[in-house]
Amino acid sequence: MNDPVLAVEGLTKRFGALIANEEIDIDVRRGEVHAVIGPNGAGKTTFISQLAGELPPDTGRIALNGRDITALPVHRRALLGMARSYQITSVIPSFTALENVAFAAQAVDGHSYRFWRPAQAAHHLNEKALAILGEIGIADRSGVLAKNLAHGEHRQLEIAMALATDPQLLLLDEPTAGMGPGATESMIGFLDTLKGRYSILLIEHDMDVVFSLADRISALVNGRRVATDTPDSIRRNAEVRRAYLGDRADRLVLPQAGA
Amino acid sequence: MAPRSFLFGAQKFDLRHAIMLAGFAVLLIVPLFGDAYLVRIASRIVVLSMVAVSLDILLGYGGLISFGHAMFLGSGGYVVGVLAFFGVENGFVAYPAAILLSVTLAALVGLIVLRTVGVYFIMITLAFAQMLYYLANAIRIGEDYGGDEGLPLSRRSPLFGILNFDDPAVFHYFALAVLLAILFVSYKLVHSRFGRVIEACRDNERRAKSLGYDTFRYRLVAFMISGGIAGLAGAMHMNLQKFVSPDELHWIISGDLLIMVIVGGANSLIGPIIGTSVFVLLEEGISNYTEHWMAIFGPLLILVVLFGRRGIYGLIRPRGEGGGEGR
Repeated sequence: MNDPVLAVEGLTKRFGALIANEEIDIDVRRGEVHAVIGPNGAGKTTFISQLAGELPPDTGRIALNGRDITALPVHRRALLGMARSYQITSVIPSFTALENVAFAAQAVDGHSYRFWRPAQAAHHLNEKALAILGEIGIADRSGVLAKNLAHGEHRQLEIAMALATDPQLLLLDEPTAGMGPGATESMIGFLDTLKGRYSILLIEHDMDVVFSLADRISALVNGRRVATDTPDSIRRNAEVRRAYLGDRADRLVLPQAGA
Repeated sequence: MAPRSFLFGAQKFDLRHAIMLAGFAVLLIVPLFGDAYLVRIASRIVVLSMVAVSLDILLGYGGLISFGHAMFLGSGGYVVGVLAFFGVENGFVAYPAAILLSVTLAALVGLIVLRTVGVYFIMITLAFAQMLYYLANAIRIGEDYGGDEGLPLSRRSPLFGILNFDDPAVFHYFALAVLLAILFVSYKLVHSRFGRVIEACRDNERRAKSLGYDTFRYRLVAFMISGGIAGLAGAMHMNLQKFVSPDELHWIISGDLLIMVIVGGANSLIGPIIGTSVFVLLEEGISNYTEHWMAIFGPLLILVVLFGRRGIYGLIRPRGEGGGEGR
């Protein structure tokens, strides 16, 4: 239980003179939700892109389940159990919702060099996909082409695809981006059911989401990690408040303090 | 899931099937008229359709716009020609050799061209085909063979002793059988798990990678399969014409193939056959009256692209039927 699922040490990424990520150390323990917060330009997207393998770090080390994956390409990391959802919806538009999730399940099922039997005859993939769509609440939309789904449904499909790969670690990049209050509420509810079953690194702007889900929170400011702590301590952390939360921290804290 | 019949995913007989069956029937009965010229046109449609179908696997399903597909038409043809030059006529050697060499060529070319996407992919496939075009022009065997003279074939590669391929009708039926086999195999391929990966790479390569797919390798295999089918078609084309020359490799041929697929309707396998038929018939029909047959075909191409975004096949698709188009 002590060894973390994800261990990041000294991750640094520069773009010319700009230091996007500087010496970031973060770990995600098994079964925890670890949120990464920070103002725009703090380097959150650069950070998650390096974790997923889309950006090569300048220096630093990334380990998944104790294995160094710093030099592995995106698809190898995915097969080792790292699943990602994108901030901007990234699905296969010409596939139905069910096909999208079944396609994700196929990635870990292996046997993609099968040239003869129809893909839709793979019942175990379809059943797994349907179960996940049911869990996330869009099973009734399984036959709809992904390009015809509504925005909120896209966000749900996005998560469903990540779950279908049986991940060890979920990298969720703003899962509620662009959602209305009601949809955000139900997404929080769903993500809450994942707690404990998955290890999650959550990047999120919406503080309601962060504080209702996270076990620990790390704050990035100007590319540096300034704090990692429990949500309560982060609320009180002076440096975080000054850099990021500002008066919003008061609003978040005050109701609880008054309760 | 909705039940699917075998016939290209449709649930009931409709206009498309009527047109397909009519077209097939025409190709079937053409030899009965005994007009060698008509049989030749029909065989040309059949053989070029094979290449167009193979290109559709790349273009319509893989989103890879190969502007160099003539290279496989040439490679298959030259394998037959060179083997015949050295006295190897047997079709059981020539056809597999044509496929094997074309798959190898596709693997080598694919290793380089598949590192690019979009316009760069179009340009680099074009560049490779042109390289081979000039290579074929440069290599001569003695005075009369190779180079811009091309290579002749004295007799069509025999397959079974009893079949006389010098009878145009027999060769035509053989080609038609090969086209049907290619169509069936391609249909199975694009609906398989592998086909699903290829289509996903077309739609959203980044996502496919992040789910764990090594997209480059899947595309390479697709490129090799497409190249192999086109190589077989090249061998058949050589047998049909009893002649191969660098002209088979020229970029204009690659462009014609793209037009056939796009006019007929990419991402359907059937569309490219329709496109090839229209192309060949117009070429033969109009070029009897004027050299400038492209002046008529060009506007038609524009109309089809403007009004039928999925080509002629898309126009005859029954209303309300969705498709797997990616963009």
